[in-house]
Amino acid sequence: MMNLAFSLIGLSIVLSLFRLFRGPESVDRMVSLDTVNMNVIGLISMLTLYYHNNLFIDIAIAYTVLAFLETTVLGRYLEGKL
Amino acid sequence: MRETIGTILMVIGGVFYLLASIGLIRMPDVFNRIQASTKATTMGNFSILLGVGLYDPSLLGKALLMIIFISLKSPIGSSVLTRAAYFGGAYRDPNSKDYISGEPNQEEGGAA
Repeated sequence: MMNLAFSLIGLSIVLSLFRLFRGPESVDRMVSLDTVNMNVIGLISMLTLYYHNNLFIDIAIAYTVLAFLETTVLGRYLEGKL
Repeated sequence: MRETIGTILMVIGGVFYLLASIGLIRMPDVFNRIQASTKATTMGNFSILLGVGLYDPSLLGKALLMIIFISLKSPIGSSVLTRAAYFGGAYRDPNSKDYISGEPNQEEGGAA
């Protein structure tokens, strides 16, 4: 049952990468990157249960902060205010 | 019982992730894509983290911390992206209406 959730996350990452390659504008690629980041946060959180290792949830917290910084800084850069 | 509820919540979160990706492909516009992907991904993250916290109760505190941080981070990120798209003059679908400048569509006025 948990493998079904893993495969759903993998499928959604692959479908998001389509917009990363195809997107006509830079903001489209940024939105796709943000979606992939959020999917990877959920994936790392579920790897905690898969490997029975509580270190992964700390990695997921750090990844959340880094994803927020990446989205905000690159968005401000695309706006031209940085 | 607790593990079953946690696993079902994780599958629901995966379904929300899949809906976000389908919306990212199918929507005609940058703004529609931002709206579709960000809201569905936030809901999927809440569901998956709550499922992880229910499956293993020793992780519940950190999962709730991540839920609080994501509920703060996700609107800020989508707002920054939408500002970048709007002031950068991104393509708007002709059926959409700009409620900030009041222009009816792309041909009469542009997005900037």
